[in-house]
Amino acid sequence: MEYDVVIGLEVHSELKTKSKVFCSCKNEFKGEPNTHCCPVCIGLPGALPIPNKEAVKMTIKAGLAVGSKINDIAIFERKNYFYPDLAKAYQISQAVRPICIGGGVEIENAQGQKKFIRLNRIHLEEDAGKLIHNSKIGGTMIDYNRGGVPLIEIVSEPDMSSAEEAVAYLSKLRNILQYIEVSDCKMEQGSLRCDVNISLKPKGSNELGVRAEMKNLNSFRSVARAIEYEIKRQSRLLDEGEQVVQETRRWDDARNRSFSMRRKEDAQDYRYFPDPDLLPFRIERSLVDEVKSTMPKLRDEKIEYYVNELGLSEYDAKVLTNDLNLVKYFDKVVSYFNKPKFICNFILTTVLKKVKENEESDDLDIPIDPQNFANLMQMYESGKISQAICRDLFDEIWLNNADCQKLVEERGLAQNNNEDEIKSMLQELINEFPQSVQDYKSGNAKALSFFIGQLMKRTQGKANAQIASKLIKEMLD
Amino acid sequence: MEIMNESLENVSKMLADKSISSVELVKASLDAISSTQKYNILHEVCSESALKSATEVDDKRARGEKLSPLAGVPIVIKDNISMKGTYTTCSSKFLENYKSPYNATVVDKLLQAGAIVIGKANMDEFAMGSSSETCAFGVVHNPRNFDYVPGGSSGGSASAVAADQCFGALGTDTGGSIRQPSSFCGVVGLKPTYGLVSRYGVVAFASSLDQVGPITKTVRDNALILDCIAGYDSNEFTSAKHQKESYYQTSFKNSIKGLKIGYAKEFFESLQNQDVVKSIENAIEFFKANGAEIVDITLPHIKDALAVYYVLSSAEAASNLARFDGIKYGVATKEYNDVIDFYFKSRTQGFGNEVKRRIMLGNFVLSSGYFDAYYNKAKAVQNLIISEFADAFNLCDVILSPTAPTSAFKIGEKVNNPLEMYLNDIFTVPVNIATLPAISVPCGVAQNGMPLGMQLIGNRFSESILYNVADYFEKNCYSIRGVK
Amino acid sequence: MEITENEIKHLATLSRLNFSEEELGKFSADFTAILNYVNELQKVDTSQVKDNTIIREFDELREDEVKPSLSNDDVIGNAPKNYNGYFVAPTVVE
Repeated sequence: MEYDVVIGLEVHSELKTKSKVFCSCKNEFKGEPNTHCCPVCIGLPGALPIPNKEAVKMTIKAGLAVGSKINDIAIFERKNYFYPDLAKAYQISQAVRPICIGGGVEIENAQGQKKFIRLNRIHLEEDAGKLIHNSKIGGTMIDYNRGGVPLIEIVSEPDMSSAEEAVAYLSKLRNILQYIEVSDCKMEQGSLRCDVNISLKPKGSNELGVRAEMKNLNSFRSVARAIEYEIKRQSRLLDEGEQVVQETRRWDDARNRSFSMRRKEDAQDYRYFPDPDLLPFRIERSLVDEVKSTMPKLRDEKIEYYVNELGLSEYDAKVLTNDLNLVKYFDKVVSYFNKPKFICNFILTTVLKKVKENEESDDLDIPIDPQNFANLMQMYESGKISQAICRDLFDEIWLNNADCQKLVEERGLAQNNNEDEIKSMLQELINEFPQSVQDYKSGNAKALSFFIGQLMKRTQGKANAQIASKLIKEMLD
Repeated sequence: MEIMNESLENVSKMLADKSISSVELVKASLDAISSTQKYNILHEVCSESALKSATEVDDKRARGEKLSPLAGVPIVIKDNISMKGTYTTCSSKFLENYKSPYNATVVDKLLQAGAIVIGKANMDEFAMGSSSETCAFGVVHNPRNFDYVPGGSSGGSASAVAADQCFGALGTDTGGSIRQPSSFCGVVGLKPTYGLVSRYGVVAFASSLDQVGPITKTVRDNALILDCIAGYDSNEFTSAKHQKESYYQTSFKNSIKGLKIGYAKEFFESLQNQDVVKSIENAIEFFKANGAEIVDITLPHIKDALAVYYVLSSAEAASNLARFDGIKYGVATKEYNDVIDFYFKSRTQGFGNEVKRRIMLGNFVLSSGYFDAYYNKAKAVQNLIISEFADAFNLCDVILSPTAPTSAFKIGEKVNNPLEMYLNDIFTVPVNIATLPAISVPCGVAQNGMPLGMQLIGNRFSESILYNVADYFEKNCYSIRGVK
Repeated sequence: MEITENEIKHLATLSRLNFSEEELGKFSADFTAILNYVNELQKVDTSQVKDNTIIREFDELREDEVKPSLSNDDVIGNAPKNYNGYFVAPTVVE
């Protein structure tokens, strides 16, 4: 039987505030466990929460960026459930009156077709602590440093119908959140998380099927694979006349399959009610306008700028702006060395290839200091170093971020542009390899590259390849 | 130990003119505590820290530093108020070994004023109860008669004052927990306007109703403590940004001429106890004779306040008490199958029956399918009651009622009938539901020899009016201390 | 209003509380009495009620400033079980 696939996403994104959402502890969860904790975020008896202005503003900003309506009054509610990572046994969240309502984003599939994905809401809530299983001590260790970190949950309508659309939506959302600088959106590190709701219904039917919720999706790839897997699983069940159970399933990336997380005790009744410690609060129009005025350029404006002002091709500008980290890096490098097209070419080829080789992750991190990278580009562009040396250096400083100018000095890697010297070296090669000269004369153009290759080998890549090619042709013709 | 009979106001003056030292007062207080131990009033006595602080205050005074009226005065606080270095058990087995690493805002304020926290008072477990019989560390006995309950939940705090162990105490009041025990013990108790006194560091029972307040021997003593603890707290989102007042300086006018006292028949319709009826009639006669006007008002829905209270307070309590899971603090069961079993067993071992009952009731009204019919309905009726009080205060300055339907009852008398126990709070609960202030002052003695209390309810932030009326009554009509 | 034993058991699960059969019996009786009392609320006409909920202004929220946290000793000081600065819970299986 044929089915329509119905997919909705719940995306969680950690906000980059200085302090946590309901207390003044530092919003940072690296380092020693339980060191950014206070009575509020570990739920000591008597402690009380106070909402963080900046977290609310960032939520408004996210809402504005996707065209949500901002509620004039917002309410925090308690979502009650027991779990060791949840210090108070309730999560402060929002249900009936979130900060943002509605909105949506436009996605584009590989064929360039556009589709509008509606949003249900964006609400502000607190993150939970981190659990680390430790079989040695026969228990689970809890670190509440992450507990109380501000989190927005972006809930889509079930408007997607394939893994491809879900990934496009997620990537668009990440892009927006990065651009407006409310979140780092690193999936690997968990600052961007995504739960997928998925159900199947007979093709053309209006009645929604029973949905399963997929959790533990740590990369774009796992989102796609989990969806593919789930579509297969559900259609097999339906084909065999069985029922899909409403449940939460955990994706296991290593085993490429999902597992049911059902527990018999899980009554799943969250008993939401307005948090009596947090009265409803007003969001004046003036506050929304203030937030609006701090909104940075979104991607489309950036693309326009790159094309019109920096002269990049539209394709290059699109690829470059796909990730805000890359944009920021590029802008910095260009500020040190103003050859945007040249730098863009190198980034889109060599750098992106490197990123892909190095990481499974979707999070883009370039370990080379932008100034250092700009210096490398300058040496290459001016002809001080050859392309081969440039690539070698790039590989090296990717690992250790060593000063590339110093390396060139110390190792004498500067390119040899002296025509006479190159000419005499080529003459030596011509004398040594008469067979190759013969080959060339009988029409084998490849023999030219052989000589250049030999030359590079002898000079450890320092000879100017362009000059050498010109010379060898002249000498043999 | 004559000195322990004195009012806070008097010992404060004696300390100021150095006719007594704080160390002497603390020692007298410690003696009084040990000679009244059988009443099981305090869970913890802070002798060491109290003597140390008393010495410091005496030194400061010797150096001529300007000190607060509370400086050097022994005070008791209820055991649900967090104080560093002491246990904060809420009289629950669950928190028997819990020591708070931080101070409640009210404790910071007391300590800053130089007040000496001499002990932490027993209470109904997690402030759930009206007799101090749900205390996990034994029942508290009424200092006026050992066989009677002191009321609750701040039974220990009221008893500590009545037994002259200290010169004032802090209690908490969610549905009458300051006023009812004050009435049962013959002392003065104020439940301030919601938001006037910080709740930060006070273990929550029902966050939207809880309020800390003073329990004292006299009305003027009460104002001295409120002056110290009232005020906006940036650590509490429900704290009120109310202009700071000096209640002690400005409340007492020694006159009630022209005062309009509201009389709502709804408070008296179900009242059967003739002692209570008579004591209120006396008070009304007194007020009339001294220039006040009695105004008939109507509060048609206060009869529903108790039901509203049980829905809302239990809902909030169920959620507030979920954090007691045995992982971060408190009882952790030794034997369990898995983490869920661990929760069940730790909580079942740590909580008493009344607490369990309220958690269950709370989860019932919050659970899907019942939320609208119970929680939302209770919220709507609460709004109705708030509006009715607001209308009433257009006609009068204060509203008069008994504090409780009876005087103190015997220990064990109501322990097996929770509903009858709940009815104790029928007059006090509407005040919390409407977020208003109210004071209970002694107004007579019942046939059983136990004190009776009168409740004066004010509009929001009208504590100074309540103090004036209560003080006038205490000075000129009735005082259990025999001081006229 | 009758409340079934199954409902009571469901509430006990939500509450993470165990009751013996005997306790359950006593409890159901108390619970029914309390619920009947509370049910009186259903008779109150609240169709015209004004919402008196207090609403806070945005200015009353907290500035985004970092203040000192508790020491790790204070954080885990009351924990029945701790290890290397962590709280320890019974093993959680996902």
